[in-house]
Formats: sequence, structure tokens, C-alpha cells
Amino acid sequence: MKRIYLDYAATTPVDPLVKKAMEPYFCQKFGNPSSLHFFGQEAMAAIDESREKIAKVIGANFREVIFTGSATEANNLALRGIIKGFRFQVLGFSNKNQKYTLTPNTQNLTPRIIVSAIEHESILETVRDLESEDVEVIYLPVDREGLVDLKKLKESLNERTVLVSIMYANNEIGTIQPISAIVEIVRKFRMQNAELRKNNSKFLIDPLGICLRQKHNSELATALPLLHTDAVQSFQYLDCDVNKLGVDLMTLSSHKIYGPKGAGALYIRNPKHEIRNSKQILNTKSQTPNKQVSNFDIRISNLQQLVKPIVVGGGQEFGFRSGTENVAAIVGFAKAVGLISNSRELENKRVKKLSDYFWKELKKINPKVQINGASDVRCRALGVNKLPNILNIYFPGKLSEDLLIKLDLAGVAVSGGSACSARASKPSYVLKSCGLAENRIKSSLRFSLGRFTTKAEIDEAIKRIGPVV
Amino acid sequence: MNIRKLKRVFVAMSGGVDSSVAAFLLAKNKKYEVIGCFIKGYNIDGCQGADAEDARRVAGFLKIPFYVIDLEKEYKKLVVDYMINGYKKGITPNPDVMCNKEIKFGLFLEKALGMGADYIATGHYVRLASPALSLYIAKDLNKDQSYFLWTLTQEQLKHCLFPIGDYLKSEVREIAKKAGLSTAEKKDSQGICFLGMVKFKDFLKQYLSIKKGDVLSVDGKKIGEHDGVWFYTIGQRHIGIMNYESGIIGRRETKPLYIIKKNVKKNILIVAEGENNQALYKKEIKLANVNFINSKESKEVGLPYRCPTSQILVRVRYRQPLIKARIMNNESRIKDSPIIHNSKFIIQFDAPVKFIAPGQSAVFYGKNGEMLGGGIII
Repeated sequence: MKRIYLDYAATTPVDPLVKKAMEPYFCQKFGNPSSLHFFGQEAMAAIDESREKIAKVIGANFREVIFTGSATEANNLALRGIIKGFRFQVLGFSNKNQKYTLTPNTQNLTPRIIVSAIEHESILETVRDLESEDVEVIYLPVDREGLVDLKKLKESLNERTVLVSIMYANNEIGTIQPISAIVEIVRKFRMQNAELRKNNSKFLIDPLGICLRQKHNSELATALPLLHTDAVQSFQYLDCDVNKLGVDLMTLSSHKIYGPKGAGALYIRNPKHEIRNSKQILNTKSQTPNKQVSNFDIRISNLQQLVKPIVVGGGQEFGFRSGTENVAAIVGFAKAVGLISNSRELENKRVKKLSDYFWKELKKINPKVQINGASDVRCRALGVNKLPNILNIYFPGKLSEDLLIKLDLAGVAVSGGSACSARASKPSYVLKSCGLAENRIKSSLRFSLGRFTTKAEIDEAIKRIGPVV
Repeated sequence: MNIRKLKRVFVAMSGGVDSSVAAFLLAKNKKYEVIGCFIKGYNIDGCQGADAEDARRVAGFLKIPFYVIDLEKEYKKLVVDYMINGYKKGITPNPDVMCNKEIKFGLFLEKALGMGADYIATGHYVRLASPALSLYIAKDLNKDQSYFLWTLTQEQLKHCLFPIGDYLKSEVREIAKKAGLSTAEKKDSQGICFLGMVKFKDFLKQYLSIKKGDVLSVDGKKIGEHDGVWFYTIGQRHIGIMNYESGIIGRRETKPLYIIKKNVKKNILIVAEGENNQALYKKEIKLANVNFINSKESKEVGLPYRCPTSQILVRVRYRQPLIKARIMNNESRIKDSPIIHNSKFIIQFDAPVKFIAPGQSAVFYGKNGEMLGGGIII
């Protein structure tokens, strides 16, 4: 039996071209990029080239791309790193207990993070963990289509807000968030905030409630709140140019875009990179954001000072992520990014056509099925956008966990929400946040198509799904 | 094409060595398409994840598909609540019997059949003889689990496989070791599966409140207090009361006290002294929910309507040596009815038996080791 893979949103096969690009980096070009000799330089050159490639595709600068071991790690670095950086650089201390000695007790210095309720678990679990470290978290509700409530976002922004993290497109229902509208809201708030701060800069105590120990820190504070987006699911189908998007941080993943597992990246905006660039070659690694920095340093690389590393050691990745680089995976990741940027639009159309066809055929087998999240009709009516490859489908009267097993035994691989540690499927919190009833959530499956999905495969899948649903 | 000619078997894998070997033996057999399943039940100490992991590792090693079947809600309702309600009423229900009846051979079987299974298999030590579909005591007499399976019906057994019934436990371990199964050295689970390391009384305390009551001796003298009858079982000793008299006299040789009776209404426990006290013994018990696995068997022992009594062997506790007894139909007036379930039966022991707790199962055996069926002691 030839198995049919319809779970591309979970992971993708490595593209043969990617595999080919990686091959030399296992046995021949195996050097440690930190080594000073030929082998090390060869490996470092490969990483440089990969970073350059990815940076170019997303419209970023070389130094703004940080490789990590996964997108989950990149998300952790974004959230935890900013909280650490904020406490250290803006408030002037690294330990939350210190605040009572430094500032009047009346001041509330609890940083706030705003996320949507349907973020990936690597965001939601991280902020939940941060809640135990005196961080306030606001979870923005979403509507039936999965769109975040922008009004609630506006209301939730306050002077203590250090980060807004909203995913570009959702992994379960494919809904695309209006990032530009979100950027607009955050920027507007930031400017109002900065004005207020500027006018009162002579005070040691920030009028907005933040105690600023040093003058340069107030400059950093004006960059807040930062905006992060998890673009893991969207990169294959959407333009992720950071300048067009206007985000400050962005997470990417390799294995969702036909690259290998074990590589992710975090983009961190560094607005003054022009000045920084000339010095970079001389002194790339010793420049860790960990070290106490002079006012001059702050000026030339200010925004990145707000992110402190969560993994320290040899100071790789500009000090943001220590640990010997996974060279082969990084090379593969960059190759995968390159392949997409050449073919995005064509692939978009092809996949959309296939998923429309799949939906039409599925309706023929079982007319009762319905789309969760944004259906095409609703998309058109409301101007909502969604990824072309994800179909989250409600099968009335069926249990998704049973369907999943039946389909798997028939050779069709799909997903039913996420799995818990015991590998039992949990009811989807994403669908729950969309306001769907429990019995609907328990009867829903996600089908996701991809690069190697063909019409013949869809026909065969329909044939196999028929007797099951 | 070839694949559907194979018989599809869903193996209930608990993550223990027995069900691992059951899966291994089936996977080795070219007749079967084997699918491993971990049944997620209710568990209060959270060790289920680790057991599911162990089961998954074995399935992966055997290269068979593996799924977790989530029956947590159902397990809670049909097994845990059933048990708690039983204790509330002052009886001693057997959750393992209920788990087999409702979960493994109930919902799991139903689900498996719905997914195209021809059979389910478990790691129970019991032998199934076909085509007559009778259950027999396992080869390993020490491990025999037929006691817990008395509720099974022909309809269920039609779809059951018990691959390890013909092996000794030591052989099962040996097979696991030779095959390289990661569970080969795993300790056997003990006690009630959903409790893990939590103490039974602590668990019950979450549901049943403490209510002090009197402990009386056989002749009605108050000799102490207890926490509420529902926390105790017939035959239990060490119930935490001092033997007043011996405490005073001091020198007299004391014998342990055993619970012989529970009065739920008045919240009274009655205890008797010494393990051979006549009050601990019963000559006769009544049964409810009686099931005979094979109607042919029931005819052989003359039940329910051919002959009012018949010689059988019986045990009223897991692993208890078999006892000679006679079973008789208590309701002669329905003697012409073919329905044998739920009718009341009486068992008379040839010699009195001690520690008999209402709610426990009495299970019948033939002289050839056949497990004929059973019922609940009332």
C-alpha cells in the first residue's frame, strides 16, 4: 500500500535538492565553525552564506538572523530573552527581587506580554511559564474565523507592555492574521509612549512607571513594545519580508519548509545595522549582548540589546545562542528557504487548486462535512485570508481519534489536533478558542497538503476516505 | 491487496511485559496484521504517560502501528465510580473484573471492531479453547487470570486472542529477553492499576468522608472506633484499634482481630478474634449477575434448569485455591426460562470458607480446569 501524506503542516519531507546541499557537511566539511583552522573556516563560511541567503530573502541584515535548534527554541529566545533583556537593560537589574530595593514599592514593574489565544504551544507554554516569573500575560481572543480581536489588542497595550507576539498564520486552521494592522496599532502606541518619555527624560523615575537607572536605557524603552510573529507555517506561502511586514522579531522553521529538522531561526531587528556593519567582521563573536555595554555600543546596536540569551556558552550566533552550530541543518535550511522564494506563487496556486478539488470531492462523499476556521465563502465575505494548504474539517457524528486511526490504517496520514505526552489526542484549544462546540472539536481533523501532493494522490485519498467517513 | 487477507488484531498493550510478549507473538505470526493500542484509562498518579511510552517503544521495535485509545472518561465512570459507589454501600467491588467487562472487552473491543479488527488480544494469562470458546486456567497456575474474566460472553470471546496463556511467566520473560523487548525486565504491576503508588484508603478518602463509628466484638461489646465502615473490608485486620482487654491485662496472649461483618446503616464494624474464629467462616453464599461463559458448560453442570444442584470448584478471591462446592439455582420458579443471567444462585461450600466479602466475585471452575463463569457475592 502506498501511503498518502496529508500532514504537511506537521512536518515536510526534505526536498532532494536540500539533501544534496547538506551532504558535504557530514563527512567532508565537518569542521567546527569556531575552529580557527581550515576546517573551521570552511564550516563558518557555510553558515555565513546560509545566514546571508536567509537574511536576503526576508529583507533582513546578516546580523539580524540568529540560528537556533528549532522554531520552539527561537520562540523561547524571543519571549524569555526579551523579558530578561528588559529587566536587565531597561529596569537596570536582572533579578526581579531586586526591584524592591531599587524602586519605590508603589511602582508596578511587572512586564506585560500580549499573545493571541491560538499561538503555537511553544509560545503559549513559554508565556505560561513566564507568568510564574512575575510576567503578566494577556491572551487575545479570536473570532470564529480565528482572527485576533484588534480592539482588545488596543485596550491591552500599556506602558508595561514589552512584547506583542501574534502568529502570522495558524497551524491548525490556516487563518492569516492582519499583521500590518497589528503593526500599525503597536507602532502608534509606541510613538505616543516615546513622546511621553522624551518630554520627561530628566526624571530618573519614568513617568510611565518604569524606573530608569541610566539615561541610555530610556532610549531602549522607547522601542517598546516589540512585535514578534511566528511565521513558521506561513513561510511557504506568504511573503515574509520583515520590512513589508514591519515586525521586530520573526520565527522561522526549517522542517516545515522541506528543510531538515533541528534548525530554526529568529530574526531580531537591528535598526542601526548600517553603522554596525563595518565593525562586524572584526569582532563578530566577542560581541555578546551579555556583557555590560558602553553607551556607544548601545547606540550602534540598540534593539538587539533588549534580547538576552537563554543558552550561554561559547558565544555562537552573536552570543544569542551558544552551542556548536548544526552546520548541515543550517545549510539545508538556507537551501530550503532559497527554493521557496523562487517558486512561492506558482506553488500557492497549485496547492490551492488541489485543496479546492479535495474539498469538492470530499463534499461529494459526505455532504455534511464543514470547514473549521475560515471557509472560502467566509474568507471572501469578510476579507479574511488563509493558507491554501490547510483544511480543518468537521465530520459530524464521527470521533476524530477513531477517524485518524481508520485513515492511518487505510494509508492516509492526517492530524487531529495536538497529542499529549501519552500520545492520546487532546481536543484542540485552537478550535475551542474559535468558539466551536466540544462535540464539533472532537469530530474534526486537519488535512494539510504540500509540495509533493499530486492530484492522483488526492483521488486515491478520496477513494480511501470514502468508506471511513 | 494482500494485507486485508490477514486477520487484523488490535493488541491492548499496557506497557508491561505480558502484553508486550502478546504483541510480539502475534506480530511474529504471519497470519495477523497486528496493531498495538494503549488504553488510556483514569489514573491518579500520572504514571500513565510512562507506561504508554513503554508500550509505544515495544510497538516501534516490532514495527507495528501504535495508537492510544482514550477511554479516560468511560473508565472513570464505569470502573472508578462503580468501585467508589460499591464501597459507599459497604461492599468490596472488584475493579479489575469491571475493567475487563466494560473497558477492555467492552468499549475497546467495540472500537477495534469498528476499525476493522477481526480480533483483540490481551496479555492475560488464560487459555481460550476453540471452536467451543471456553476459557481454561492458564499454564502458569500462579499467574492464572481467569478469575478476572468470568463476565466474558461468547460474543466477546469470538473476537479474543490470549497469546500468552500457554506460557509460564518465566517463559514470557525469557521470550521478551530473547526478542530484545525493552519491557523484558519491567516489574509487574501490583494492586489496583489506576492508583499507582497512591494508598487505597487515601484515594477513597477523596470521595468518602470520615465518619467515626463503633467497633464491636461478636458478643456486642464496644472495643474501639473506626473511620467509617466503607473504608474496611471483610477479613481485614490491623484496623488500628487496641484490643482493650488485652491492653489491660497485658500478659494474655492476644490474637489479631478480623472484621467479620459491616453494618452500613449503623456504621458498625464487628470483629472476631483469631484467624480461626468460627465467625469468619461461611458455608453458603448468594450470587447475583451470574454469567456462564458457555451455555453448554452450564448444561453440563446441570444449570440452570435441568438439575437444581451441581458439583463445581469455586474461588472467591484471586489466586485462592479452588474449593469444592455445589451450585444451585435459587429461583426454581423460573426453571423453564432460558435466561440464566441476573438470576440468583446459591453456592454451598463442602467445607466453610473464611473472609468472604460481598461485592467480590465468585468464579466457577470445572474439574478439567475450565472456567465456567461466575457471579457477584451478595
